[in-house]
Amino acid sequence: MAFILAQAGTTLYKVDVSTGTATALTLPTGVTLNSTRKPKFATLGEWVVMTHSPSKNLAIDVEGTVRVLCPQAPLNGPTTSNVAGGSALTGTYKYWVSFYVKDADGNVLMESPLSLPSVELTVTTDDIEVGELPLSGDTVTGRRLYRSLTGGVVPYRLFDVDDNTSNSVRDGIADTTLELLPSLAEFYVSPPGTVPGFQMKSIVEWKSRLWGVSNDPTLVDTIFASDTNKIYTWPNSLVAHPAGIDKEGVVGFGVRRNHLGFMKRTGIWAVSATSGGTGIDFTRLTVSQIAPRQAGCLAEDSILTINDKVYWLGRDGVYEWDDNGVKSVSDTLVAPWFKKGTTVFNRDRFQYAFARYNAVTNSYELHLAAAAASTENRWVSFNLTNRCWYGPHVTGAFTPTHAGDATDANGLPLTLVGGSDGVIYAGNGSNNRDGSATAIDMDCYGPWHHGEDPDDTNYYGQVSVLSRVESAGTMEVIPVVGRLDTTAQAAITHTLTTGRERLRRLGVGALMRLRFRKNTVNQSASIYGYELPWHTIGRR
Amino acid sequence: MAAGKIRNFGFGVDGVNIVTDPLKLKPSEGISLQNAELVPNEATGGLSALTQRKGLDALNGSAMSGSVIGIYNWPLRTTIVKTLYAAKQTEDANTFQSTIDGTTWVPTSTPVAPVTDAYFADNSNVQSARRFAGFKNLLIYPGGTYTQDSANPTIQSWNGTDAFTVTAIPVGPGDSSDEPFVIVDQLTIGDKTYLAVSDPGGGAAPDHAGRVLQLDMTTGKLRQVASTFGNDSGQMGGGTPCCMAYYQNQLFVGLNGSATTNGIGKIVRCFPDVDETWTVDVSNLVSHPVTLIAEGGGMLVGTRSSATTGAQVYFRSNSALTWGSELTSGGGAAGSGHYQGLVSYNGEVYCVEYHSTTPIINIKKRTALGVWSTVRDVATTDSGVAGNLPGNGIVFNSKLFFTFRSLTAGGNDGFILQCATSTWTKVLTDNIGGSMAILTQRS
Repeated sequence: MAFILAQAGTTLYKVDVSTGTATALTLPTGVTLNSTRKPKFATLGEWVVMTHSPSKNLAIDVEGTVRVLCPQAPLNGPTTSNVAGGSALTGTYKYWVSFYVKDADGNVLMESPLSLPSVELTVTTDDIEVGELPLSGDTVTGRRLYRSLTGGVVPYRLFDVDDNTSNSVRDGIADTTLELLPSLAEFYVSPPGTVPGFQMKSIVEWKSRLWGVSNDPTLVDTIFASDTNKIYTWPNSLVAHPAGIDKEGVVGFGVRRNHLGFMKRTGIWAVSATSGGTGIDFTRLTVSQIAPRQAGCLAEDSILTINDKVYWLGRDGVYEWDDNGVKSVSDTLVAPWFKKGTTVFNRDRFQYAFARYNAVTNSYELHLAAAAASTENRWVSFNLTNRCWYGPHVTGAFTPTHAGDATDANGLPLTLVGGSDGVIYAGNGSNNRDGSATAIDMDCYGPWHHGEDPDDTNYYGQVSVLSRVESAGTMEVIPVVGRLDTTAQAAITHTLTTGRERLRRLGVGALMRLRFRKNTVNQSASIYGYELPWHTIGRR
Repeated sequence: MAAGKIRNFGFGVDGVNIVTDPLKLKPSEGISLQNAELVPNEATGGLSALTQRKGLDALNGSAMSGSVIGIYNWPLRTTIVKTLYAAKQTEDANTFQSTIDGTTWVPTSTPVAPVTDAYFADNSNVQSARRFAGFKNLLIYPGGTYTQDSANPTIQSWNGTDAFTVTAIPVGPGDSSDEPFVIVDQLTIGDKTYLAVSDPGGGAAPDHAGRVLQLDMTTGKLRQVASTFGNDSGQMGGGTPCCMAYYQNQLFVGLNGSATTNGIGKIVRCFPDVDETWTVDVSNLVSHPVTLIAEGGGMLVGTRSSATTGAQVYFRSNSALTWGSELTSGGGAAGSGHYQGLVSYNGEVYCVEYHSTTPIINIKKRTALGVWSTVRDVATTDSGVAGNLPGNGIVFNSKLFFTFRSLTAGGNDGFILQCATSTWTKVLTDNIGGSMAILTQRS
């Protein structure tokens, strides 16, 4: 079986790809999803981490249990007092507390940073009562106590209190019984989004770490990173300098095998790692600006990595980043779609564009808003095999609101589009329709033809259309014969069951163009080509 | 006069071109190619043919609530099936009953037979915790196929399909050279499973022999925790280990000395990866512990009855660290009185009170510090009789289950009670051995 995680409205769902059954997942107490902030996901160590949309970062395990990614750190340290009549402790001690979540087998799944230390307490052959144990507002399974060695300042793990209710515990454990090495919990740092208010607006996994960026306006150029293979502690950060020159800062991440791109509106920055390692050494990382003042990214959800190449929507086109650098892939063929003055798309909504990969056609599919539209109701395809563009495409079945790709139960690729109707649609369907009953409106405008000289007037004879033999259906062939502004002729019907059909004469004019349209539910069409005779009449 | 033929058999192959002026477009280009694509498959068009794009099929039959704003691939093993297994005894070839919903039970004979009452006869081990364990995708339990006193007890595993022998418990290093009697309790903490083993030898009651072993299920390594139990120098006296709990990084172990003397109930503890000896936590409980859990800001233990006093439940708080009696059985002294099956459920603690005379078989509930009540009179309501000794309590599918053993090893008069939303139901009557565990399977 295979599943996808989906957010619809303010609900998180687990969707069985095989059956289509969508099951709402239960969120931790007090955590809500925002229906206007799109969720961001990343996977590390069998955990799916979800940010941006939730009021607190979430982590989802393989069973579908949703927990906070990192419990909020205790607000206060514990108090201490000596208990006369104890036995083991002589010296000066202080304590720390953290919150944790354990599984049924007692494994710690996530742990908060430590509290502030308690005030030092000096005892002589007494036990110590550790009181005012902080209580977590998150759903946790207990609290972990740390203690210094006598006179020490670093925490050693002491023991766990497996509840979130009791007020105090008594400690009589000798220094010699504590773990040999101090705890690394001293260095636990919560990621942005642990405390409600700011969210991690983007997150990815790269080199066995999670990388994220906050929507805190003062931190938008700072990239946070988790410990290796640990989802809940984020002690590392980098800055993509210069900071503070663009209110959006890092829009998203471009993930390549040995490079991680920090995509800003003003350009692309990156860190690199060796190809041999799965992890990276933070002390050796430097942030390089690889595409200054150009090729910036407008829409995080347009960023897609396909075969170690990253694609995204910039302010004036679609860009590609590979081993040869950053370049536009739209300028030479479809630049007007993306540049100022376009009448095809609404550039004001470029920031909301989203993309998906279609493995069947090997295409980068970019969803955009049509001119004057307020939803991303069109999409264009960049075929990575022939590096040509197709579209703009449209569906009458629903309004696309998000897209993604996934794998089915057999590990085979799916390309998915989510709709405002709460339905996820899978592309490349064998039914020649969208949804249950909407025709796919194929509408193709061909090139202008002329004889030898576009200035001459020609006679265009009977056109033959060759197409794939279908079991039923017709296609409209709509000629234009004349000049560029000539009105189209009446549509000619091509019967798709014939495979080849000679149609009527097209008539007299300088130029000729054919438009092919197929818009019938449950029927398909493939155009192999067309031919027609012509001869010059003269120059008029 | 110029004449010729327009032959365009590559229309659309080069996609959209709206950069070049319209008179210079290649025949293979188009101005707009809505809902058309190249499909690299001759059967459905082919790379040189412009084909209507394929459809968008609804994946989820029922719409979700609201616009879809997030989609994420989740190819992890997310199909989790949990099955509750209840051990049978010797009635027939079936070794366990299992259920995935708590209501419908299915007998199975494929897992190796678990230990039965007969294996616990030595040192009165019948009244010990006798828990099995679920570990990752395995059920781990003491096998009941070895010949006691001439072969070593084994740990068996069951993954829902295949049965394996994990390891055999070797002869102990103590004063006995004979094969161990039986594994009387199991406790899984992280990737380690702790085994309480009853050994022959030792001294007169209560100083029976035994060991606590730590089994690393990843490496298969079996190591002894702290010292052995017995009456020799360096051993911990007071009984064989019979119930365990993990609390504040320490392993607490209740000891069974099979003596009825009042006030000798003993619990010891150690840091299992550090300590070489046990520390006595308490040694004056009314009688030997039977069941032990960490819960509610401390620990709880249920004991047997002594020669003079009824069985009791004690609580050890986080702060006082001393054991205080919270509940005394109305069944009175002797008579196999004991509390069994302490289990936490919905923030409250449950156990079963048993006494052979009358008989008393009550399910008790602790709702607050020191506040206990009877929530089910099993003897009256469920036809429990003397000999239907209580077994494990376990939470499964958000429901609470208690087992009650068959009167004899071959009898089918044991039963299982289920509690859901405060309603108790007898869900199975069969040849019940008393132990339960949950198998988790991921596919």
